[in-house]
Amino acid sequence: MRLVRGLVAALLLCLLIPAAALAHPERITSFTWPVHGQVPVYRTTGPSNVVCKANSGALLRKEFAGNKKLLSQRLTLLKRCRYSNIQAAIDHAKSGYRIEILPGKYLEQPSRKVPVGAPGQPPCANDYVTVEEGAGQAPPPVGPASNDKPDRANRNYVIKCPNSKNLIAVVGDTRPEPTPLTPIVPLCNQLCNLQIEGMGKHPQDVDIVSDRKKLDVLRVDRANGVYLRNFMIEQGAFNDVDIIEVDGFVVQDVIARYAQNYGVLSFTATHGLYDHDTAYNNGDSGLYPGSTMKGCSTNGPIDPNTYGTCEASGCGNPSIEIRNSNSYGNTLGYSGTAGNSTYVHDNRFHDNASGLATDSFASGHPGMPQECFHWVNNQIYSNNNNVFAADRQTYCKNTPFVSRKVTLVCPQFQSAVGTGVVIGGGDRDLLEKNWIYDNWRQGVYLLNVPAAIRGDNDPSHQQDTSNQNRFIDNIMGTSPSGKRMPNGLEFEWDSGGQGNCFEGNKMQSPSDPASLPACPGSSVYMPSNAAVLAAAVPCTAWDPNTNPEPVGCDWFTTPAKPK
Amino acid sequence: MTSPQRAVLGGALALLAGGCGGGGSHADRPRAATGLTWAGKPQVYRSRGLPRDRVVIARVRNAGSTTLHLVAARLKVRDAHGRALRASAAFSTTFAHGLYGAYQQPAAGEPVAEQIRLGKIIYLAPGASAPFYAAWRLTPGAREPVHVDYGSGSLAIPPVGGQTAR
Repeated sequence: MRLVRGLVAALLLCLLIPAAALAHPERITSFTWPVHGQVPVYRTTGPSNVVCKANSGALLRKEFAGNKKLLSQRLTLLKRCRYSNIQAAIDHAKSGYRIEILPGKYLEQPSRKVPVGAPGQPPCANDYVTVEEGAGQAPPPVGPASNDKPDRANRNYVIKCPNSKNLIAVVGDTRPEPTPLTPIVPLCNQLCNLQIEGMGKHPQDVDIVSDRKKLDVLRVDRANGVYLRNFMIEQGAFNDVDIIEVDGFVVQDVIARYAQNYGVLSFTATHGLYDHDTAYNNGDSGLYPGSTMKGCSTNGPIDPNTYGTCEASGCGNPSIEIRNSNSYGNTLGYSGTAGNSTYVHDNRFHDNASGLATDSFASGHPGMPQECFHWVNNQIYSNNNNVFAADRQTYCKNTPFVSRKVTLVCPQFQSAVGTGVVIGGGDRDLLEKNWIYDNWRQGVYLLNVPAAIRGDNDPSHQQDTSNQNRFIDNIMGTSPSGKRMPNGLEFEWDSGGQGNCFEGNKMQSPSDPASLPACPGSSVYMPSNAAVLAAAVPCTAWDPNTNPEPVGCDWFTTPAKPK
Repeated sequence: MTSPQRAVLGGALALLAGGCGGGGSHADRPRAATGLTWAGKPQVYRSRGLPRDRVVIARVRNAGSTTLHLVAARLKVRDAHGRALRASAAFSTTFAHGLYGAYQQPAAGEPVAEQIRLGKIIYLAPGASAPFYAAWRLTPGAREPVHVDYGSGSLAIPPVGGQTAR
């Protein structure tokens, strides 16, 4: 028995240690460090490769019929066209090139011919890594089964077989990975500062369409300084745009739609800008700046690849900015596990199940715990889109992504329908001067999340979330035009944490608790109210395959419209 | 995870699979004959907007002398007649979600670390406690009080008071 106890203890110890062995369902990633990049600047000069389709000329003449000068420029560009697939143009580019894409629909047929692959099957049959230990050795699965094993293509895979799982790949780091479980620190040694731009009048004029099998439609992998602009991209089996381990990027005037999970996703990235993007009908979130480098790391001495917070140093500058974008019709308009130091302003998040969520819920996301967002002057409204209706869940359960109606959203994760903003385990976040209205359950939902939930069992970390968040001068329950459009509750808070405070918010509806503390909030760490936990925790049991309507959870019923 | 760590993990799992669960599948029944108690007073709530649903928020403690290995999905909430009610439970009181999307679950099941993180399974050492919730729906005719049946024992759940989850 002593041996059993010892081994159980050893097992638990193993499970606690390897933050690096747990991960987002992605290969193991880390931040570039030290970090020297910057948000790239748009260029109109320099070497370029031009991509076109047979009908690009006709489309140009139609789109630019009223602008002879621009039409002439574009037709001159057409004469330089040497590629009919975007990937081919990228493959023949060097760092600093521009990829200019003329109007047309881009199916990327050569990439589609490359099998998606699987562990033990070509291509790159052996370039996988098991990122979650103990897979297959646990008790029988509680959830559903699929063909997706918890083995992830490692970085050698994307170097050797870039178009197996990606319709288009921009691979910036070609150094072989000697030990995929502990990857070398990112750097960019090719295709850095690439600019990929649609040359149509509108983003829709260049439409990049995946086959619903490739995980990413466009993957930018360690290619620092990338600038993506003016195109539409759709139907990724995971992400439409996936920016991973990148220092310096812009996604501007991009429409991302119909992905199984994320419209535009960045992960372990920094010095980023999402600008004038539109994301809709994605199964998880439209915009996902997850595992974002903390501002106090970007501009300070804290190594982002080790545990640390910005409490002592201050939040520093934003790491990723999101502005003037519109995200709607998704399960979540925005989400970001470990979405640190995002500066989100002048956007609209509406008609999703929930508007924005940021959290410390999941394991293996570098940059935990989440902290230091600054969200200001956004419109967050009418997030009552119930994507959890019983008939939809039945359809989604029975229909694989490749066969589903293109426009239909199948929710990948559970979310409280009728919620404007969810902060699940955040610190030092600042929500100010936003218009938050017509969210029928609650405008803002603030929950404490102990570190153990993300797989961090260090006793000293168990109170490291839900501290020092501020909610200042928000206009609740009234539209910018002045129309009264109340939220169900303005603020729902479990009362946990320290230093959370609410000041200057204009409110129409009650909050829970009814009395919210003014700044600077409580000086001591407060426990969570069990009554609030009791409404949320049963929703953990949601699973469309086995438990589509969990007992004790009302998140999937559209709340009555508040009066 | 280093190779030695991986070897220890594999060995521990293999040993658990062979011995810690008692007869049959290691996940079927806890090895200890008794041992689970409430740690502190359980809080029982009516669910908001779901008049027949109840939720208990609590901590449970292993008062026995051997490690308990429990699978939350196999716990039963039974009414006073012993009838199993529609229910869910986990060794957690915090909402969380898994790493994998609803339609992208691993074929081999969720990795053990992920199940532990989410409170779907627990290895509870003697004397240790853990957060716990259960939610259940009282069917017409169901009689209170209810209890959580964990295989080799049960925990009585106190009657709901006037509190509503919110």
